[in-house]
Amino acid sequence: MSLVLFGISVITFLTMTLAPGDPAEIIMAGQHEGASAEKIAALRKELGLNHPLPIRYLVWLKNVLCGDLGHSFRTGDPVAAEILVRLPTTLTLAFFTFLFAASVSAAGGIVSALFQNRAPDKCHRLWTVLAVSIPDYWLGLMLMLVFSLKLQWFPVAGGSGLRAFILPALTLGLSVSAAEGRVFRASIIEILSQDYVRFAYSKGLTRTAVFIRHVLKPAMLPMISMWGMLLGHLLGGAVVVESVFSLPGLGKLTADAVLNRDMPMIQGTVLTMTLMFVIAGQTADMIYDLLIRHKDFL
Amino acid sequence: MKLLEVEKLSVGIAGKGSAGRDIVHEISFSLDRGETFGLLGESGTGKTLLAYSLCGLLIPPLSITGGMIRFAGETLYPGDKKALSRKRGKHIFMMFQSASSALNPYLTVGKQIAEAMEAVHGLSYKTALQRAEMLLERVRLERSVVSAYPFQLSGGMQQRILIAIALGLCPEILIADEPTAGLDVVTELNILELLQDLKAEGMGILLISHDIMAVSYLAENIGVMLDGHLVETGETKQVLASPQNAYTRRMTEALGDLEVKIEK
Amino acid sequence: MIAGGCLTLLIFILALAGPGIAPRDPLSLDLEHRLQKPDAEYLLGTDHLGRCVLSRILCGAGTSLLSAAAAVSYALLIGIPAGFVAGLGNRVADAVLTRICDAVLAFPFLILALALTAVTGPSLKSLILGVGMAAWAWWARFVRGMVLTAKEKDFVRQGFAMGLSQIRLIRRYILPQILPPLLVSISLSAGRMMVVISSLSYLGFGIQPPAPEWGIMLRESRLYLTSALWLMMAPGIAVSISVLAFNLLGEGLKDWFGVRGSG
Repeated sequence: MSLVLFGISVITFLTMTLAPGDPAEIIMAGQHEGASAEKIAALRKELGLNHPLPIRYLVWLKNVLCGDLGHSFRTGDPVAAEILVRLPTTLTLAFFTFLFAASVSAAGGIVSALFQNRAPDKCHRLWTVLAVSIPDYWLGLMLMLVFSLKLQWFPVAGGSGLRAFILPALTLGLSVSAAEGRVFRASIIEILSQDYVRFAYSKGLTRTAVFIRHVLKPAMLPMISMWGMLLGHLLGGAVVVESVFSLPGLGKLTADAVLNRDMPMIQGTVLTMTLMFVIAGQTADMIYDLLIRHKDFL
Repeated sequence: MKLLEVEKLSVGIAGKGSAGRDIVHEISFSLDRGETFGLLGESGTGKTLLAYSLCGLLIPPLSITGGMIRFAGETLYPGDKKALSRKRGKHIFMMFQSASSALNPYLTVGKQIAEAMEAVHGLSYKTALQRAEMLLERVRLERSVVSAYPFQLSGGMQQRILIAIALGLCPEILIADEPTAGLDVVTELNILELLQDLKAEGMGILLISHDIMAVSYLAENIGVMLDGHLVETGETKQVLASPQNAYTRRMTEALGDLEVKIEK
Repeated sequence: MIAGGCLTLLIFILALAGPGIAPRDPLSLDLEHRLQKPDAEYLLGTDHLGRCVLSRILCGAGTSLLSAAAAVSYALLIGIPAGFVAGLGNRVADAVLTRICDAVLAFPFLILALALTAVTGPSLKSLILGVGMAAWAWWARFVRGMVLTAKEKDFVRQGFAMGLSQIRLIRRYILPQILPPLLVSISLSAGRMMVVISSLSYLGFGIQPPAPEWGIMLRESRLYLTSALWLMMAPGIAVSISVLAFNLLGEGLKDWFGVRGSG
């Protein structure tokens, strides 16, 4: 775990530090002042760019651990503050997407597994292949066209309140729910073929009791790890979807930072999102372990 | 009239002409309260399939393709498709071949014993759980096993759990599929003694095994299955003493040779 | 399987022949015919600069497929050897490689790809490299896992016990086991890579205008969402169908080989 965190910090630091272009020159270029050689040299010294790499890494790490992610090349504002402002938007989006994806995938997976190889299952499988094939930025544009521009149910872009999150969450959740539905289906089918399910019938239990107690609960376990992985996908997808819908979240911040080559900002957002992803994964693992140890949940 | 009567029962893949195929062919036997019928045969001859068919547990494309099953005078097959599954648990209960895979790894042993009584006898869950502890004592396990998970138990202990479930359900007919497979001799005897107790309580037992010793210990009547056919049937002593079928003869001779070698 | 294979083949042929059969130069501007609806002359209409959409779609096919193929190849080129070394090599190599993979995989995929792209600035080359570099660790772990499972199989152990050479063991005993799931995953991942690359192009991180590429075409046309629907439909459908083709192929291969799991 600590090794992973160390690895993350090294990768993030190196990626951004080794990027071509002198940060001092970039900052100077952004300030529209005469960028004399002395000024650049002074700034280099101020930014500590003259020190060897390991020293710079340690200084950077110390600052990060103190919550100082540096200042944006572009606006000069502290990166950490900007990230904190944007974070709630992305978290809300992730939450709604999760709700949507979890419920749709659960329903789809169960129906599909119960009607294995029959019409509902075939429809569900076709649907899942289709859903993962549509790129989410295009889906977003299409949804926006139909529901915002033509039907005018939702604000076109931005907008306030929870309504603004509905279309982005649908966009982001579609492919995820399809992928999860498939995993859930496979997981249920695997368990349906287990001896203990047939034995439960032999004991005289009803179909519903067997399904809920002996099939559904074990089938949920792989989904928990899957949900931990989900956040990584959501954060990545947020970059695209927030840009399409002009939602001012972390994803849009990252996208804009990359377009502007605003290295401290990229570094900050990448680090924040990765940490969130790691924490989500750890939490999922913990819940999984807890359930495995106390298998008698529910 | 016997309690369970099976006549010319065939099991296979239903279909006309070459599409259909029987795996178990026209098996007939009967079983009464307190009796044991032993079904002998190698693995893969369709013994387990026959057992599944008696509980309505066949999974498509497999199904009963012909014959008749009567339980206490009521015709379960042919007729109402749900008739067989309605008898499941309360009247006919099948103990599966491998206890380790028959028990759900995610539930405690107690829960798995209790849920059966809860579903079949309408006990409240709490009462069922208390009874489960008593049942564990009856199969000579500790009461504390009630909160153990199957993987924490040995093969013999898992088999006892299945017997405890049978005790709790108290069915008229118990189908025991290879209850002693993979157990050491001492444990095997313990399990057979427990089955003997169940028999004494009045259960009719269909004992499926490839182990002649186990079958002859418990069964008054036996049938020998080969490639889906019942090739020989009769009183246990008689069949073992003077086998008519070539396969049965080979089996008893091999057993005799083995005993001679052990005595040497 | 057959549908997916045919569709993939068709798309490859179109991509190869694209520049040849395109009715017009995908780059030539014609400001007199801006934003024309699809008609007999311009089958898929024209864009805001009067360029023929059909020609741009056909010429863009090559770019999209090639960049996805390149990104997958980069990832495989590093990932597969790394996976084999970790799976078959000594403990130290395995531990080091596994730690590195863990760290790389701790990043959300798209975010890492984006960050790596940002290092060298927006261009198709850096986008492909960035995506490839972000993806290799997944393959390394995937291959390592499969090698380890294959190694544990009884008949492979038997092979070890018989004293067969390492190369022979890999070729005869281990490769046949891991090839089917690997092919399935490559096919599915090609589809995913197309989505990722076109998404990033859409955001402006990949190939730069005026080059014809599906993602960038959508980026340029997003301003005409209401007035020129055809500009959105053509590239979007083109991407979706191509991705669908790879996914169907992957699914087909999965059924064909009888590979289990989600890939």
